[in-house]
Amino acid sequence: MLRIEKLYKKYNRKENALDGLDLLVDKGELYGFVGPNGAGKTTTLRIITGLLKADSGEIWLDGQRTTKDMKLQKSMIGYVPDFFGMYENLTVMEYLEFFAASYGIYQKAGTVRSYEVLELVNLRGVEDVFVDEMSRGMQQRLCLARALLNRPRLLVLDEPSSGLDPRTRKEFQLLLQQLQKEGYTILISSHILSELSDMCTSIGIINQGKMVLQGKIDHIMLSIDSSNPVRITVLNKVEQAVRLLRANPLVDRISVEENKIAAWFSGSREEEAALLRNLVEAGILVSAFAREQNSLESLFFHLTDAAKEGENV
Amino acid sequence: MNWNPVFEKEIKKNTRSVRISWIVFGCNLLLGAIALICFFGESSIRGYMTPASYTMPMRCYMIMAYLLFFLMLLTIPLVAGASISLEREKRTLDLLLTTHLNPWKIIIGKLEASLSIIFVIAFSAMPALSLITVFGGVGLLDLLVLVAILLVSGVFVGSIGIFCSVMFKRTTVAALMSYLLVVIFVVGTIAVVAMGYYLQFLRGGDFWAAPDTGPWIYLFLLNPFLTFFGLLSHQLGSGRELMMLCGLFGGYERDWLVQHMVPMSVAIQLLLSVLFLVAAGRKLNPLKK
Repeated sequence: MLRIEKLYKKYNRKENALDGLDLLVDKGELYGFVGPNGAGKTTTLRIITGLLKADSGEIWLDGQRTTKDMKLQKSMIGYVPDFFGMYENLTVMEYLEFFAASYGIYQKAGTVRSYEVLELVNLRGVEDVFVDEMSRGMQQRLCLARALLNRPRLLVLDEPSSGLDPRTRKEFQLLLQQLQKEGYTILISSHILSELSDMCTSIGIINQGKMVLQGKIDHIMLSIDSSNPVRITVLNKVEQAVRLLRANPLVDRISVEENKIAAWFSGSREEEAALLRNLVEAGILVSAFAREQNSLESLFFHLTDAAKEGENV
Repeated sequence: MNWNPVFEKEIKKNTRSVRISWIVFGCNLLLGAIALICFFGESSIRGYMTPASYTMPMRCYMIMAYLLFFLMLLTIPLVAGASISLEREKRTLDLLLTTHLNPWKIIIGKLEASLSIIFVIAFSAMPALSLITVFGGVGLLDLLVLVAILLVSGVFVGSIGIFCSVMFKRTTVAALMSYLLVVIFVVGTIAVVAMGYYLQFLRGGDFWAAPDTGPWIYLFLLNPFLTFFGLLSHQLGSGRELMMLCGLFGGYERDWLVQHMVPMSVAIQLLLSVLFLVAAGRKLNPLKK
């Protein structure tokens, strides 16, 4: 759906805000775009939405090269920034009709489309409420409705949850997942990594203007998890369990603390299951057996710290 | 026909704005009061049975026309000067720029919205201004020409406001700079010509020959107040008052541009308006930076 190749952007002849960024978002994905402050997330999103000009690089949207055709690029994108952008003295319906007309959907067609997007974001019944009198959660949903007006192929959200309470954030997250199920492709940048790992299907981690890691979130987590130890808790025969584990050629090393064993096991999921069966068949009471998992947060720190250390060296 | 969405949105907001309603009400109250004072003043001084004098109603019309012009000079720079910068401050400008609206459309919509206020004031003032037609001397066509010149000046002043609104990020700075530029065009041009005249005078030369400011006088073409003054002199006076004013700064009786100052200044001010708007549009386009 979205392909970015070698995107460069420099502000005021200083160091590169974007340093040859590559990004790939497949159709129907909910793509989490993360990175530390100043990494180039907002610059990337502003270039995608046509609010900033890149120094060089290519952008493809839905198979079409849109780098030189900003009108086409804008027509395919719905943008939700990190602020609501409300007008005083306008009702919800007037607000949406105004933006519909701004997208070239005039009069009755604009009204019909406004009702449709209100339905999509579960905001029916507030058509006559003034937008500046709505709660933050409702304003955020209205902002999303506005971005959906032009039937975008790609929804771009920049820190959409900032300033929302946990309940509203969760509701908004569910709404995004619902939109993804309906076929929308969503690119979301956020600092709340736990939220992204819960809902995103793919992630991209940007640091110092470069993409340091991107791909399906399950694959990334799995590849990183495989280097973690298997944590085993046994209720009896600790020494026998250690002997059995040491005998397995796939176990590199073991550490034991009372009845808790950590085994650095390089086998597949199936071989992990076979190891567990061996322990149980040897009469060892195993109360816990699981590969230690990484969180997106630990991955984020790992990658961005590594880049920092590299810079210091 | 589809209206410019920005203009339509601004009109909706303005119709609900108490501030705009008070401005329109205040202006009409002031104009109505002047018209009534002049009308009843005239009849009470001279009595109903004496022949009507043209002087008083003409003066009344002139006061009301100048009042409308100065209201325009006061209102438009503020409204236009705040138009884009307010969108930027409220961070809605980015939202507009991600839609299909191009910067040019946004700017034109904002200019139309700024002008609509003076348009409402001018047309709502028509009943008060029309009192003059009872006495004759000024007809309905003159009133329409007056409104048209007001609109032209409004476009010029509004373009200056929009330009400043795009150039300066903060609304207060943008509005102040709009006023400053308007003052430069209205007062500054006269001051520069007067200064030129004074310098020529100091330079001396032929004692008996009057100093001549030369082409500096053409700065008057940029002055919207002098355009308005010229129009009113055509409507109420001999039509030579503007020529006489220019004559103070040299011999311009045969100068074609000075002879046709009102239409030429209208054309030049409209051209300058376009230049201001184009510059604003280029600055507003994020992809041109």
